Amino acid sequence: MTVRIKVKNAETGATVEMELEVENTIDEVIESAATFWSKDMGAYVLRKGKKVLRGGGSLTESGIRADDVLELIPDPEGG
Amino acid sequence: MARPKIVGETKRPLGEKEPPPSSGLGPHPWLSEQSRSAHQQRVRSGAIFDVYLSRVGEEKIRSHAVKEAPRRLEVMGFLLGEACTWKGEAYSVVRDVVTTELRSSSSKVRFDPKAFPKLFHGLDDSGFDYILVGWYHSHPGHTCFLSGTDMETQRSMFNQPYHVALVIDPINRDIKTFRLRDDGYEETMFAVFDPLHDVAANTKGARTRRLKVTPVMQPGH
Repeated sequence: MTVRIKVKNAETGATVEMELEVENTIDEVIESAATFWSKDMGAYVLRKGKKVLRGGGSLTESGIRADDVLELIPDPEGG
Repeated sequence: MARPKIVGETKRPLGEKEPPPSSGLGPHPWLSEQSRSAHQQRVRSGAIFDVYLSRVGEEKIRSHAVKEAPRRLEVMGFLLGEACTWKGEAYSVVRDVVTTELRSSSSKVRFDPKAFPKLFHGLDDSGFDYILVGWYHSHPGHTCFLSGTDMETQRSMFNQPYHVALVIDPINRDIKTFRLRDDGYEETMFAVFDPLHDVAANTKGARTRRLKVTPVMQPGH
């Protein structure tokens, strides 16, 4: 089944609309958004509300539904 | 199985908005005499600052850095606000800051991966439609500059003209803001503003904002 979700770029406020299947994984969502915005996917986490979305779990397993708005959050390092 | 497909992007334009009024501006208490003089000169000239840091945000950052200074631990967090333009000039407004538990030493700092939910709670609790206009972190006793690690973070995450890197040294009582420029970085000028004077945020057509003034840490100074 195909669904559409939105992913917000927390650094700019831009939002992409993404079409995907419920079997797609969280990593694939992060990779797609990060690639679109020329980001290193390993340096970001995805959130839905207060929940961190990680890894190879599918959208269904992660509780993602059509029209959800997720947010791509940077995981910075200072030195 | 098909890979995710991006079917469209909606960009957030920079808002054309008057900066906080000079009557509500002040220099940071840790600025040097030279920087304080430059601040006053800019206020008198009417030129806009590169960054406007709310008093609430400034106090949270300073308290956070000072709290961990005795152990020489770096601290870090996000700067929440908006990117604006006024008469063709861009500037950033930091309305609030958020952080969470950290994994830090005297020379490195990251968010604790287990503490992201607390960070997200802070983002949701900010009460306005923020963007991350940058990040802050401390250099306890190391002065204020951008290290190689900091530059990597700035280049990969905060590479828009309005993005700010705020560095605070609670041992030497120094604070500076930076942004990328060409292959390196440059210091920018910032002012601390009192949101109560920020009439621009409440002008006709602006979105209503209600900031929660709830310091997350006890002042350690």
